[in-house]
Amino acid sequence: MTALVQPPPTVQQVYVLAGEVHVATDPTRFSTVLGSCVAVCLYDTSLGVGGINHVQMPDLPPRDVGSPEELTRWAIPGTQRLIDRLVELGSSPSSLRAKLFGGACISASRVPEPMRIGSQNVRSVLSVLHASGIRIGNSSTGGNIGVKVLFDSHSGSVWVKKLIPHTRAPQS
Amino acid sequence: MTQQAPLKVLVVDDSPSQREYIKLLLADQGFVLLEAGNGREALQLVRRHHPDVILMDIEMPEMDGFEASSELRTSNLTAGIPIIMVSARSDEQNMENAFLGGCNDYISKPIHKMDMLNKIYSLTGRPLV
Repeated sequence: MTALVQPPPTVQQVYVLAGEVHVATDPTRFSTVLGSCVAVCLYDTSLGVGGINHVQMPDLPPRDVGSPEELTRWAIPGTQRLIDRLVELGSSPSSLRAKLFGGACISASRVPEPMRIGSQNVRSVLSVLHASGIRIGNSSTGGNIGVKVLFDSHSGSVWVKKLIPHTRAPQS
Repeated sequence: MTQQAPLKVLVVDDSPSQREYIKLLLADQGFVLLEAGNGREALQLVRRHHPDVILMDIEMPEMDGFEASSELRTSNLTAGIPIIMVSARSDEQNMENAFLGGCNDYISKPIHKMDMLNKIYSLTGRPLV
């Protein structure tokens, strides 16, 4: 893991909210904070383009939802939209690389794995990436800790900060 | 097969209309719904009723969501109760602080019913109905 480098002032910095999809042709540092949500960092270093999403829910919406912004809250349309936008910029699935983050289950109780929304989000995202033939690089999903992700669109570099709770020890 | 007790969900928000809206979204789930107008009221209700999950706003008078969550995490009796932060302030620093303060997940306003239900059921280990 490389040390976090502050981007030069010319690099745009964009905070990504839940349900959003962003792509960039100019060097951009994206950041997002994830619990059970999942972010796909997708990039093509040969073109210097990249993008990110932040999906909240697995699979597809139960029925038609209104706006495209609403639709991308779900993992399958949210990931497909990210791929489509980078292809529109001239990339192709075979030259794209993906890194995945998030999908945690931060619960004190023993939640069976299939019921964890984070695990379901990861599975849904992977199904779209695999179907598109996109190769997957170093990723970190699951676990029981929220994370902050920083992603440089032009290089594909990612830094992950674990958000370990700093609460005092419980008292009886 | 034994029937599970209905989930007790505590809704904490200083806006009565927002509490009503959340209760409306959850009305068809068979939950026992409790409500509090700030963090201090929430702490009292948690100690009395021990809810299964808490939906916690961030900005509130008297005691905000961060402070209330931090208090809940300091007692063995309440440290394990899942807290879902619900806030319009889904900016970077607030979300970081929510996780660092011990919350389990967050929902950004405007609230999407399916997102809220997915997180409630996932964190409590109950199947989505």
